[in-house]
Parts: sequence; C-alpha cells; structure tokens
Amino acid sequence: MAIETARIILFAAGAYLTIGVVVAAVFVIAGVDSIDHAAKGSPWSFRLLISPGAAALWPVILRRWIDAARKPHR
Amino acid sequence: MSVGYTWVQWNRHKRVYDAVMVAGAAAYIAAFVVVSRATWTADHALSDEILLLRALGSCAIVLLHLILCIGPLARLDARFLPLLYNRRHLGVMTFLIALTHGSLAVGYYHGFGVLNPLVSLLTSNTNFLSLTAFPFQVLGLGALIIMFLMAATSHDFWLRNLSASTWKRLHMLVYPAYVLLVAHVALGALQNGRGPSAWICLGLGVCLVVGLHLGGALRELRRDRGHPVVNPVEDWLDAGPAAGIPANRARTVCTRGGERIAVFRHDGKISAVTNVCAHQGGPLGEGKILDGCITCPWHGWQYRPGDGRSPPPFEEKITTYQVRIIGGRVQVNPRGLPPGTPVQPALCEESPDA
Amino acid sequence: MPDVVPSKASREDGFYVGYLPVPGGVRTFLKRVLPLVVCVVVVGALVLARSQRDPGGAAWDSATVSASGRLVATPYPALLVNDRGDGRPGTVLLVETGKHGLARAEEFHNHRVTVSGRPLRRDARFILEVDPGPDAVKSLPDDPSRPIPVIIPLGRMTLRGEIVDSKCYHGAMKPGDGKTHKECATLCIAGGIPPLFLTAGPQGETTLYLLADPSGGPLSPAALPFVGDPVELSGEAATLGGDLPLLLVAPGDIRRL
Repeated sequence: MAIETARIILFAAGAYLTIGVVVAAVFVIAGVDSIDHAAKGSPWSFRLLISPGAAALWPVILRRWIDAARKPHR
Repeated sequence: MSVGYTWVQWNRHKRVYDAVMVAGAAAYIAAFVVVSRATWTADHALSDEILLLRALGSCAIVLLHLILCIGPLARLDARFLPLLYNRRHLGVMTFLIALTHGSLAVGYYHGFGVLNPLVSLLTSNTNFLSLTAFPFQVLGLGALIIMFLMAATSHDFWLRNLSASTWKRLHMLVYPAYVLLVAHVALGALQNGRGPSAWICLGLGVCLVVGLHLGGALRELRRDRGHPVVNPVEDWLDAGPAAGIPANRARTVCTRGGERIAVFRHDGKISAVTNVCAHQGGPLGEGKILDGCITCPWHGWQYRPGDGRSPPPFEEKITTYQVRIIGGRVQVNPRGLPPGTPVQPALCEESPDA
Repeated sequence: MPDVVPSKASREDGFYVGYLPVPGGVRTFLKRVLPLVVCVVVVGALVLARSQRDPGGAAWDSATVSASGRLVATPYPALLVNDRGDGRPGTVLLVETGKHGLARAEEFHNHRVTVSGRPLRRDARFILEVDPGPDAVKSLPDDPSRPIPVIIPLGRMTLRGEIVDSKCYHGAMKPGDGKTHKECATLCIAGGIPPLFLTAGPQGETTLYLLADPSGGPLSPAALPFVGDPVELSGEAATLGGDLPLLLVAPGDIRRL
C-alpha cells in the first residue's frame, strides 16, 4: 500500500471515530433513555460501558435515536 | 433479563468466574515470563517489551481457544454450562489482553521511526503474495477490530438495540477472527521460533476447536432427525409419546424448515415454544421449568409456557406453537404464532406429574 | 392452579442456573475440571515459552563511551578506528536515537572526530548510538598521514542470508532479526539505520556485510521489501578500510528464497 493511500485510510478512520466519540458522548448522556426505556435512570457505569460501542457504531445509534425522536409514543 | 440496566448484574457466580479467569490469565503470563527469563539469560535475554508482547499475544490466542471450546462442550455435556454463563467477561478480558499485545507491537515495532506507526503498519510490508514474507500484522489488526466490536457490544443493551439476529451475526464473526488469528500466528510468530512444539500446540488447538464443533453439530443433527409429519393436509409434526417427556423438561423437534421447537411437559400439560431464547439464542429445549417458567440453560432467562412471555416486570416474548395429544402422542403445529401469543396447553391423559 | 416448582428443584437433577446456587453434582464436576483447565493453560505457557529461539548474545550499555577515528558519511555514517581493541583497524557504525540514521554525520564527512554515545555490542563488534547533544561529535585536528578512505572492490559474490538493521541486530531489540522483526527492520533502514547482510558460513559462523548501492551510496529503497526475509543476493564485495566489508547490491540482484 502506498503511504498516501494509508494516510487517507487512517484519516477517514480517524474522522469516523472522532464523530463517533462526539455522538457517543452526547448519546450516553442525553439519548440512550429515549431509544431504550430500560436505560432510564441507569448509572454512569452502564453509560460508560456502552460508549465504546456507541462510538464505533454511531451511524446505527444515530438512526435509532432519530427514529425514536420522530415516534415519541413508541 | 432487562429491567433497568446496570453495567454488570453481579452475582456470586460471576465474581467467582471472573476471579478464576483473571487468576488463570495471570498464571499463564507469569509462567511464560519466568520460563523465558530462566531459559535465556544475561546477554541472551529477550527484550522486556518483546517478552511481554509475546506473553500477552500467546495468552490471548490460548484464551480464544478456550472461549471457542466452551460452546460445543456445553452442548455435549450440560455440566460445562457454568463456563458459558459468563463467557462474555472471558471474551472482554481476551480482547483487552490482545489490545495490549497489539499496542505494544505497533508501538515497539512501528514506533520511533520516520513514519506514523499506523502508516508504517499499513505500508512497511506489502508482500501479500508471499507466504514467508506475508504481512501477518494486518491479520492480527483485522481480528482485533472484530474482537473490539464483540467486546464493545457484549452488554445486553446492544442485544436489544441491534436486534437479536444482528447481534448474533456480529458475534458469529468470532470465527473469521479465529481464522485470522491462526493465520496471524502461523505466518508470524511461528516462523520465528525453534523446533516444532509451537506448531504442534497450534495444530492441537485447531483440531480441538474443529473437532468439538463437529461433535456438537453431529449430535444436534442426530437429535433433529425423525419427527415425521403426521397428516400431510394439516402438516402437524409428531413429537413422540407425551409420557416420554420428563416432567418439567422438554423434547426438541425440528420442522422441515429447520426450526427447532421445544415441547415442554409441566403439571400434566404439554406446551410448545420456540427452542431459541430471546436473549442470546440459547436452546430452551435443554432448559427446565422452574417456578412455573421455562428457564434457559444459558443465562436463566424465563418464559411462561402458556404464552411465551417473561414473568413481569420483564417483557421478553417468544414464539408459541399449538399442540394436541392424539392417542398419547404429542402433535405440534409447525406454524409458529406471534411471540407472546397464549396457547391452550394439551392435557396429558395420565395423572399430573409429581 | 398454576404449577409451582420450587427453585431448589434445579439442584435435584443438576440443572444449572447462574443466579441460583450451583447444584452439587455440577459443583463437584467444576472442582475437578477447572484446576485441570488452568494446569493445561500453564503447561501451554511453558511449552510456548520454551519454543522461542535464542535471540543471540547482545547488550545495550547504559554508560556513554567515546571513540575517535575518521568519520565517513557514505554509504552510511561510520567511524573508522585505528584500533578496535586488538590493535587492528575497526568500523564502528553510528546511529541516532530511535530508528534514525545519523544525518548530522554529513558535515563531518572524512573528518577525524571523537564521537560519544551508548554502545550496542554483539559478539566482538559494537556500534554507537550517538548522544543527542550538539557536542557528541567533535572534530579533531586532521592526520595527513592517514589517507582518505575510498571503496576498493574485492570481487563479485552470491550469498544467502537475511538483511537486518544494524541497530536492532546489535541489541536494541532482542531478537532483532527474523520474521516478526521484519517490519521494524524495514522502518529502521528506511530511516537511515545502516543495513547489514547476515550470512552463515558452512560451519555456522556468522559473517556481516554492510549493504550499499553499487553507486557507493545508501542501499536503494527498492530493496526494502526484501528486508527480514531469507534472500539470495549477488553483489560486489568491497572494503572501505576497517573490519566491516561492504556488499554493493542492486535491488534487481536480490531474490527471496
């Protein structure tokens, strides 16, 4: 692999994860309760535990979060 | 079951499990370091960092073999089920050990140079067509990414919010990760050792994992055979004599479509539900009725046999099936009802179970 | 009336539930099996630890030493010393900290200098990791009786062995050769650490050559994919004085075995 290609791949991975960290931070504080009612009032240790997964899978999380916001009665 | 998440639902068994697994991993690493130090001394001593990354890397692959053996072992002998109960903690610990190994390897072998260590990792060896020169590190990186995804989604929150089938598919990636790691070791560390002992260890490990999986699969295949359709018009399945099902236990039947149905006998009645637990897909047919509820042998999730619903306050639901008894033999309608649908149990003719 | 089976029923036929007490039979089974599993794991550690090979006898000294001689910057920075300890002239390769060549050697090319640094020793040879300070390389008055070194060809040869980087091989990493070290060696050589060709004679004795390009400059980057692999190469052996022969190799003359 050329060095430039590697740099592009790593930049893309870094950008993806940076967005993921931001989404995960906001999600575990303010969003998790709205997509899963079992998370209401859950302790910080649980929120911390799911944050690496939320950062890695942020597109899934974001979609579920938006769905939950659109259908508040679900 | 999921009512209000905590980070870990601790109980005595999980504490003992974690203590044994941490002690076992520590014993492995300590034994590896002590023996290496005693074997190669003075000017011939291995670098501390290399010794540590070898101890951690080999520990992680030994643990991954253990993890992969637990599933089929529990299928072959139910007494291994306690090892399956908290397997996710074993998986997370294995990932953390592998992550430390990977970080040390990248930092030490790819750091201190003219390139960003990650750029060096991706570019310093591109001999993908050579067996002897193959860049085995990227194989390890691939396995590490899979192990990260598995460890990061090991909480039940993910099971529920990714959907059970997606979660299961994600966690089945452990097999590609295993293949990547075997290749990582065979194309890397094993080409750097002396003598055949490490090759023999890896060979035995692969044989054990493959053999146990084949054994477990053969056993299930044998169990799934021989449930004829009793009436071609109605398509109901014969599930054998009602009296042959032990009290509070189940017999598992398999539809022509390959779905397994657990037929339970409880209190002189027969009920049928899917064999697949809503939690992690555990085999409910190998479970038992406790406190009036079908109890999964894997993690103890419970469902009422009459409607496939978890007892309140839990909310899980599983597919139920219609049953009837004709001439002392149980018949099951293979068309499943929506999860949580109440079904009238069939009454056995003989007196209720003791 | 709903059927109620007390939870203790799980213990009667050995049905295990994680959040209930472990049934007696299962407990006995685990008490036998778990120590066995831990024993197998520890025996695995012993076998795998013993399967490692000897990394070779090398040491990285923490104390700084000084050496004086004529510095050559090409093909790689080296100090040609009059006495390597046994009265014979020797070659001391010079490197920076980390995986970097001694770029500052350029300004001292063909000068007599004193260099201070930490020695990395393997067998009878040592190289110097030059101290980072500006006074680590100091010019000395020239000695006109000593000729400026030139590359003298000795004849073509074909050899089998492995390209290693001189710093790790001399003890910066142990082992500093072989498959797992391949990418580190590639990074070191790409950073300017002098590459060595390690070849074993018929009796197993190790011979080292400093690799360089046929032009007399550093080894071509096109040779980097062969670093750390078992290779056969053909080139012109040469000497620059000192005790480390050169091997001038074009990348096209290197073949992976």
